[in-house]
Amino acid sequence: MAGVEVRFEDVWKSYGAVIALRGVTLTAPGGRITVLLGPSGCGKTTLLKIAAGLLEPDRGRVYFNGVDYTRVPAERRDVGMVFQDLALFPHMSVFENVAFGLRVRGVRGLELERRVREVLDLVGLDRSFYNRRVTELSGGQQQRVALARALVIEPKVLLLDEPLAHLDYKVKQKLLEEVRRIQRSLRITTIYVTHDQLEAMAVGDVIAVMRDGYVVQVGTPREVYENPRDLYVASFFGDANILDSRFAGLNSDGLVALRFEDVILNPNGDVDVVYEGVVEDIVFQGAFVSLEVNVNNRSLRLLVPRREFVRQGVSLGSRVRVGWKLSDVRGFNSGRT
Amino acid sequence: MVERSLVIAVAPLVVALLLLFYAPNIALVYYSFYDRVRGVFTVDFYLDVITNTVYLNVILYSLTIAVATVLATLALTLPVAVYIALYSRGFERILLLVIFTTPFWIDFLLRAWALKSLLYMVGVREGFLALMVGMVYDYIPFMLLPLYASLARIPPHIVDVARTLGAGALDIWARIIIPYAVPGVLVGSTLVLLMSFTELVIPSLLGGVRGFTVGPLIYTLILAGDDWGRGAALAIVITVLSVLSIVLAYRRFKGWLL
Amino acid sequence: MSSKQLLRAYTYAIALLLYTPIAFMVVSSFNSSPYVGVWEGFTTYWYQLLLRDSEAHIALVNSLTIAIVSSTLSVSIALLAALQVRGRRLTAVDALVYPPIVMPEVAEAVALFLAFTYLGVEKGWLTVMLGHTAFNLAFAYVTLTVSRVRFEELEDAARTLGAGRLRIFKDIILPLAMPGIVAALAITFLLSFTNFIKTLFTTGPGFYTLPILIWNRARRPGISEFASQNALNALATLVTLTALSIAVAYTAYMLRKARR
Ligand SMILES: Nc1ncnc2c1ncn2[C@@H]1O[C@H](COP(=O)(O)OP(=O)(O)OP(=O)(O)O)[C@@H](O)[C@H]1O
Ligand SMILES: [Mg+2]
Repeated sequence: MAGVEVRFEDVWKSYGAVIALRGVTLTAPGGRITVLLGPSGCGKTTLLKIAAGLLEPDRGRVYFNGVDYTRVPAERRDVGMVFQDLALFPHMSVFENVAFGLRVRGVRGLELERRVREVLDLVGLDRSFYNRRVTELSGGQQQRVALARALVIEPKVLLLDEPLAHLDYKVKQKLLEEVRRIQRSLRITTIYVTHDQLEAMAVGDVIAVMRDGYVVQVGTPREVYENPRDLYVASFFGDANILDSRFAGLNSDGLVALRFEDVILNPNGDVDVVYEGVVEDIVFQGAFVSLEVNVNNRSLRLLVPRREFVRQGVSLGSRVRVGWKLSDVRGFNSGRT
Repeated sequence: MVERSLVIAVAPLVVALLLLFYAPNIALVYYSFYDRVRGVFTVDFYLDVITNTVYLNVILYSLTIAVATVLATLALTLPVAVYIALYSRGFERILLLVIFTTPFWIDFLLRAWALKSLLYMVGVREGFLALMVGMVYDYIPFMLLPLYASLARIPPHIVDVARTLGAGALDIWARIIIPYAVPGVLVGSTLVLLMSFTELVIPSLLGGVRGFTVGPLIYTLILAGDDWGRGAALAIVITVLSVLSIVLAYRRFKGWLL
Repeated sequence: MSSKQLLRAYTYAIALLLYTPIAFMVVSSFNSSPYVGVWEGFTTYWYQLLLRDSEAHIALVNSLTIAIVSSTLSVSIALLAALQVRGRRLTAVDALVYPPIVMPEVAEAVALFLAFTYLGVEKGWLTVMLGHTAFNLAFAYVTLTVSRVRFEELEDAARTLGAGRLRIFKDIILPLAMPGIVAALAITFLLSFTNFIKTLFTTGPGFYTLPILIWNRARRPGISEFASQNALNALATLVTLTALSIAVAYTAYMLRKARR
């Protein structure tokens, strides 16, 4: 099974006066994970609900493998959806929540039990959970139930709306791996919504960066990271210094982006631009240390591997040199900012 | 599309309310202006109700009793509400709430009758005293619950905290309990005022000759006296008074109740 | 004694006072003497008398049928509306629903009396039932919408799982709305079962419910053996016990729901 390709064509949607989507065109390739990434309120959930058939677009079409699905109601689309706030049925047990979609499809008896058990095994919930009420589960356990409920119907398309929001770091990492493992083994086309760029990079085959109802850029994580289309993408996806073009060393006007990790501390040749400055802030981030350096009353952020930082013996107030290659400076022709 | 199914679903409720509540009220207004004897429309009934000292006295007397009931129930139940909301915990709180809400489920008439038997035995016969005791007895839960609801919003342990800061009993009442109680006092007082003002059962059963308040007056006019015009006008006047007092009371505390 | 202990003693004293008349009524209903206050020994005579009290039987049947029909009718109608209205605020509907709750009951009763008289309807079972339904509708609607559960997202979830309208209603909406429905049924049943004022104004000659019967006998106690004080106490005790058992069952149901 190659997986169903989902294609949005010029999709518009408004709620009264609020325009949530302004002409989204996007292809989610079959069998892959496409991440919708964007800040709160940019229209991610709206696009997902249109994919699910829970909302009808005001204009535009939705195709599943080239077939127009725009007016196919949700209950006949065979999509599995994990909702932003999960929407588990509060009056049912874990087992019953997962069994619901199968019961609707007329699956009964041993067959039903077998399939529910399989999918609960897959998400890592053992027998002792089957009769628990979903309201008595931890956040991570609830997320697993929601995922199992969506997977059990063997959907053509899996829609995940911030499925790991509100989880602590460790649990999130673990579930992230599991989502990826399950998706790989089942090869379901997946659209994954998040506003967390690290999560997006960890899970996405394709990333679509959204803003104010538009898709600003689509590409693999690496493409988007290395070639952000505009300042907005550059600063939202990965962290970047937004600098005056001439300060950055270019011979033009305007603003440019320079990734934190592309700024080199005390460089030995091998760079095109060098400045002197004073260290004003040091934040330990584990493997990396984030420094803020004041250069002529401009503050620059840089990300230095911890070993390198220790080797250089930098402390607050140290005078340091910072530099970068011109090829690492991202300029933009025009584009929205 | 969605809107049409909404209209269809709401229609029976709206139609039923229009037929069973609003249409009868049109009849009420109609008869308050229509003189059946002379066959003409007139405002005489209203003038009568507002100017005739007999009616006016009954209204004032009922109002006095209602206000007295409000004050008495308030004074009696405030300490109870304070205890339940601020001092009781866990099982005791649930128990007390059940104890004080259960009377809601028992009919007014039955509670008035039960009280009448008891008063009869201790030698209190129908009259003003029995009437007041009956009013207070029946309306205690209606005052207590709103009071409790507003006091329950006081953050737990705040009284203890205040005490560690050196607040005396007087400070605690003046600075914590009373301010928090205000909305509850308002809701409870309006509720008790309105209901006791138009009460019919208690005055008739316990009031004896002192039980001629607006409730029994309307009863007499309509059912005993066949005087529909004055009865209807009086009913409208007390309704207007009630609505006015609600509007006045809630202008400041909109959205607090319901 | 600390102020806490003082308040506690006071609270229980008031609770005691609240229940004294009811306890007294129950005890009196077992008194051999027809009069209260003169204890002449234990008897169940008044309850046996009730078995022969055909008026009380008629009143009981009337009260029950009216309460059952009125509460079912009003909760059904209100539920239909409440399920569609759900999270939304329909100011127009709210504006129609609240006046019946706020209007003084006597005034509403007079309005019903005049309307039925104007139409020339014979007053009896039907008029009383319709009169009760008028305010039961309002209470049912308010009760059902106060516990506004947000079903939309759950419905959406069920739809993506392939469930049609009927299935969603049966498996999602109805089970979740159940506590509200039970509450509305209990409240409207008791409001109707114990209603006196509206019944008084909408009833016709020869038709009576339990509260009307008790009222008639309470105003003229001793007019017959059935209307003697302690016979009346027995009747009132039974009605009170009925109301209380509904209240207890209702509270137990709600506590069980809350715990699950
Ligand atoms: N039911 C609704 N009625 C009115 N406006 C809505 C509704 N749902 C969403 N909106 C608006 O549409 C816009 C897009 O909302 P959407 O829920 O798609 O955002 P989102 O990207 O999912 O945000 P978040 O990350 O916070 O979940 C927002 O401005 C939101 O306020
Ligand atoms: Mg969202």
